[in-house]
Amino acid sequence: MVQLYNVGISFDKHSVLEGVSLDVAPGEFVSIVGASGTGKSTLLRLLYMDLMPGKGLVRVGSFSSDTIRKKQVPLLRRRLGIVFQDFKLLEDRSAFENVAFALQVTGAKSADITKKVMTVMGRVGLNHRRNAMPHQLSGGEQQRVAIARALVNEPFLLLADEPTGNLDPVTAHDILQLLININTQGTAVIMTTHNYDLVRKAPGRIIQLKDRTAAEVQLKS
Amino acid sequence: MIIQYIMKEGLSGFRRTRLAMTTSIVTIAAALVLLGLFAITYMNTSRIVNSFRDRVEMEVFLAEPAPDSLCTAVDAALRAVHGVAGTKFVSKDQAALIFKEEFGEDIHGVLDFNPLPPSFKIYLSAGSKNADSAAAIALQLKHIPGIDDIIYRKTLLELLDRRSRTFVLVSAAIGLALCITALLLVSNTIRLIIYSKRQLITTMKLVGATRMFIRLPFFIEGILQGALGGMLACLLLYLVDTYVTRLLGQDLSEFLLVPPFMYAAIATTGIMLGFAGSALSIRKFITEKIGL
Repeated sequence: MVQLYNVGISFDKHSVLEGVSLDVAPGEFVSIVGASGTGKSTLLRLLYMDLMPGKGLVRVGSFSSDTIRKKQVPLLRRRLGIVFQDFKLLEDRSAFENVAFALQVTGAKSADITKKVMTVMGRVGLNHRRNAMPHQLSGGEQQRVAIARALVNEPFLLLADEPTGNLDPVTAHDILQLLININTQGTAVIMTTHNYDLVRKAPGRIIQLKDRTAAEVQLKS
Repeated sequence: MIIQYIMKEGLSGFRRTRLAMTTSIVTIAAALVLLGLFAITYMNTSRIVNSFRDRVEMEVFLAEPAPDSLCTAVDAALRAVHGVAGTKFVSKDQAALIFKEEFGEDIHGVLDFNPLPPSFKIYLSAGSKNADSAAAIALQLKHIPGIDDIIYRKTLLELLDRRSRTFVLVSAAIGLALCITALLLVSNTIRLIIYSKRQLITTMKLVGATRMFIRLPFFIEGILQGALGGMLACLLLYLVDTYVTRLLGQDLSEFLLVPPFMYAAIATTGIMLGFAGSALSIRKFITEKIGL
């Protein structure tokens, strides 16, 4: 489902990733750990094809970095859900509208949008807060809205870039639990974090990025 | 749903960047009013210059004696020359009558004979009423047997040509400068709008919005700005026209004609400026800075 073959990428001649290979199966939960600046976000950007590899090949679903055309990138992203540390919510729209936005850009019908948004808001436990503006929500609630937005298009893969980075430990645990629930319902999850305590509670494989390369690791409990 | 959303977003700039949008619309209107005034001045000046050109006649005088057969042959030869739209024969007797009308004296009272030769008045075609064409025609006419002399107001044509050329160049330069100014203003306003919506654009990218979906609202905003600027300019020009016409009175106002198509042209120019300005910003800002 997700494959990276010998991927390398540089910025201004500064190599960030070299020879990274990774396979992620459908429905898998993969945690990517590493210190700041080791290329975790870059790896995710390669997966949603915001960046193209300088070397090697990235395959996500039926899309491949060597053949994808620029106008096909939005089609890939509609099949993915993406969550960020800073939530990236639109401040001038309510929680409901933020989630609905992901469907509006695909041209979905109004009736379908309402139904799908209500369903997904229920999944993340935020139906009662759907009319609140982002600034009226706590950090954890904002991240739930961001996750709802990522899920509303029913993605086969959820990419979470430091999803708990701005949250307190209790809320971070709740968000992780939400991601695990989503995963158990069949959506593959790739989560990056530098929080090793959190990773210990996550299911699935752990990939560590270090010295520009990736390797599977087992953490001591 | 997509069209509804794009239109809503396209109009949202009026709310988000009200001041920049208003400034841009007013400036476009001001630039278009100036452009319109230049166009009106240019058109009316050209009309006056052309009316001078229309009065320029070429006359050929025939060598005497000029029997009817020669006159007929010369007329045919004149009409065959490229640039000659028509001719009018003036006989010796008609020339004497013209002399009397112009100088108040009968030529037969001054001289025992009529020294005025028969002649042809030559009407030039619209494209030949300039110094170069007239000189070329005169050169051809010289070679027609039976023609003694050719006269036309060469100096006046040369003067009109020189002044017209300068006027066209200056008008074009000023018009171009005004268009560029308006274009840059629209472009700058759209850039501000794009900047104010950068978070929205990034989110759109992440949730799979197509390039056209992201860009279209900005085009709509630009076109709307241009259209509103154009409409405001039309209104202002109409008021100026009405006021000046009233001020000049009926006789003089004939010199100031504002054809209805001028309003349509100004509105269209506004829309085109709005479109071009937004295209410029979208290419510069969304493509290069945001990477779409």
